Amino acid sequence: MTARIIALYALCDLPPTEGVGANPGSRLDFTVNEFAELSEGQPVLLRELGWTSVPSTGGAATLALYLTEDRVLDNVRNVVLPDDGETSNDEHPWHDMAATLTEQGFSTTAGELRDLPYKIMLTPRLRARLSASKA
Amino acid sequence: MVALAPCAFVTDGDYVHKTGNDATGHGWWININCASGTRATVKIWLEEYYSDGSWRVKGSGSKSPVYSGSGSANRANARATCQSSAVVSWRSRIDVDLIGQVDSPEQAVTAVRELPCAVN
Repeated sequence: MTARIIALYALCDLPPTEGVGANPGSRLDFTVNEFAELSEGQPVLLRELGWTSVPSTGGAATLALYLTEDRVLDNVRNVVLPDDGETSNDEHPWHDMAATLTEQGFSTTAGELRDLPYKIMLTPRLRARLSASKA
Repeated sequence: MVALAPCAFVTDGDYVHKTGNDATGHGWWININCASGTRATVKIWLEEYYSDGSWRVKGSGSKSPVYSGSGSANRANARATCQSSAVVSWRSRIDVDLIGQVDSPEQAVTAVRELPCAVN
């Protein structure tokens, strides 16, 4: 395989599921997909993650206060942490990510991945929702 | 006497996912208008769906005291070891109890995810 891994990124979205069911504004379900960006060709999907947010009280009004760009970015960082993050200082599960890429035919190591840029990207749909929440 | 309304916070839980041979999930909380410095006990249960329509707890965990916010120090974690790679549905249930304060009894239930991990 000739394509090189040039960066890693997490793409966060907020699919339009809010309001499904009897309690509109009762929850938000974010998706976070993590990719390896290649020098050529399609990105490689590493992990499909996400989180759910549920207000204790106040419904949609509480969620509107919750929904800021900084908070979303913090939560993306939280979701992509290693599962042994409680005992590790690593911000990403480098060894697992390298293993996933190796299984897909890429020659890489945890150390090489650690040296790559890691970006967090928000979809236009999520950015629009953040703007609407701020207004 | 006027009862004080509970303050508002948001319970967050990541989707149950597979790490190694475990299903795992985390729970944390975000302070919206509770007093600064409020801490909580965060409990989390991993639930697997059964064909009889029930959700059964397969792992649990808790952490206390937990400050509002993200980061590995502020997450309660639950794990369950997979016993087969059959694809089944998973979700987590998270309860945040504010320490020394009245809060609402609701629990957060995360979105359902299909994982190649069954715990029988």
